[in-house]
Amino acid sequence: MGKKKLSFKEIMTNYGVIIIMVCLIVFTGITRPNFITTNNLTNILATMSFRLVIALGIAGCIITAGCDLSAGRMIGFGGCIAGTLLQKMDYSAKFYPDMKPLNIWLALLVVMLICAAFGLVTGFFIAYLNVPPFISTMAMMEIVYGICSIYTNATPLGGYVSEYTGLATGKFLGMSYLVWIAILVGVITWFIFNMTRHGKYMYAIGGNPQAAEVAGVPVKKTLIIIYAKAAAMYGLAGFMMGAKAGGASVQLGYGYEMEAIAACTIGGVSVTGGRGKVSSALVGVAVFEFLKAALQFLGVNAYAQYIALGVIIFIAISLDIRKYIARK
Amino acid sequence: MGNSYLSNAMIPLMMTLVLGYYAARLLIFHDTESITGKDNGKKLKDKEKYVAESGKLILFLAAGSFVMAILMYFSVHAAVVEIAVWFVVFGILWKRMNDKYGTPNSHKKK
Repeated sequence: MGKKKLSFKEIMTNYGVIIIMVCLIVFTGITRPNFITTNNLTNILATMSFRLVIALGIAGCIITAGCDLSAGRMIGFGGCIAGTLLQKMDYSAKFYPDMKPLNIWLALLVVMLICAAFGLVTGFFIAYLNVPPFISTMAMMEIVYGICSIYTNATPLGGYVSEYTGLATGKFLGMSYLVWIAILVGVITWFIFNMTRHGKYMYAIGGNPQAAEVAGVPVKKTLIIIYAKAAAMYGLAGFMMGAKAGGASVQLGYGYEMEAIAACTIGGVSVTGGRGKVSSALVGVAVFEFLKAALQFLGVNAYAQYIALGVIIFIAISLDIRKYIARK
Repeated sequence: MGNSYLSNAMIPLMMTLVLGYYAARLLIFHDTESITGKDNGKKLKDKEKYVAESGKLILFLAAGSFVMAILMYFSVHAAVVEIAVWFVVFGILWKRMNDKYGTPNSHKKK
């Protein structure tokens, strides 16, 4: 069985954005000697770790032709809950002055469960009340933001126990624990997407929800699980970000949902639903993070960087829609 | 105070604008596909009614978001309770509207 040869036009439509971005990264590597150093690469990998967790959560929603705009706020909320539970006893501005810091894994579980509960509500609105995902998640974004503001009283948190910050500073086989957590999440997500009935249902819903319902797919239940699972992953990402930054505030994770959606689209997760893999999210996040680092190393103005990233998102989504129309 | 209020109220204000934009697309341009997606727009029971009702409901949620932005100036607690209640009411009204004019649900037991 011979492989179908791709034309230049097809290659550019499918991988054009990635090729151009890789060229820019290679160019930066050649012209800026400090770009490809162990230190810089380790730093980019650590940043990629929580970005990947967010992207994998959002990828599940995008595959069902949905989206999740509450991700950024959920990350902030997760980071703040973790922060309040993991402060040192002798920290002067301790949030719960008399409470001993929890075990970090127990705190992580609490964070993920609370965020999953919010995801469950979002999923209920989408699945049972048929509210479009972008409206449900946008409303949830406001609610979570408000709750987080009340919970923290809009004050920044810090003074974390060393076990928590050690997740970002500690290393195993030369890589930060955060990277290992991201790898573990990637493997689990790959297993869910490819080896479970839930994964198959997810793709079926994204391809054609009506046909999936007729075929006996529990559409409503699957959608609720997808949004709850995604929210739990945002909680995890917030927990990881808190460890890396050594602090958290209501503003943590602001705008990350857009970057995660963009990374997924660049990697090949289709915004029209039914298509996307774990590797798509990984490629998208890697290209996006390396590009941001490259633009910084090239000395591009911070505002111009936003414009450049916006143009890339626009082109990636336009090409994705073009591919969708061509398939039809 | 002013700056701090604006940074707090930025999200509800932004949401008011975005929802207002979608409501305008529905009510003025009758663009159902902006909220249903390309395929589902063709499967609606009554497109005209769906456009009008969904546009009004999105405008209703935009108003809720604007009220939240105002309430945030006085009390964040009140603002959160207000948007949560508003969102639940919106969800129930949306379900009713969707059952009447939206995509036929093939999963309903006969």
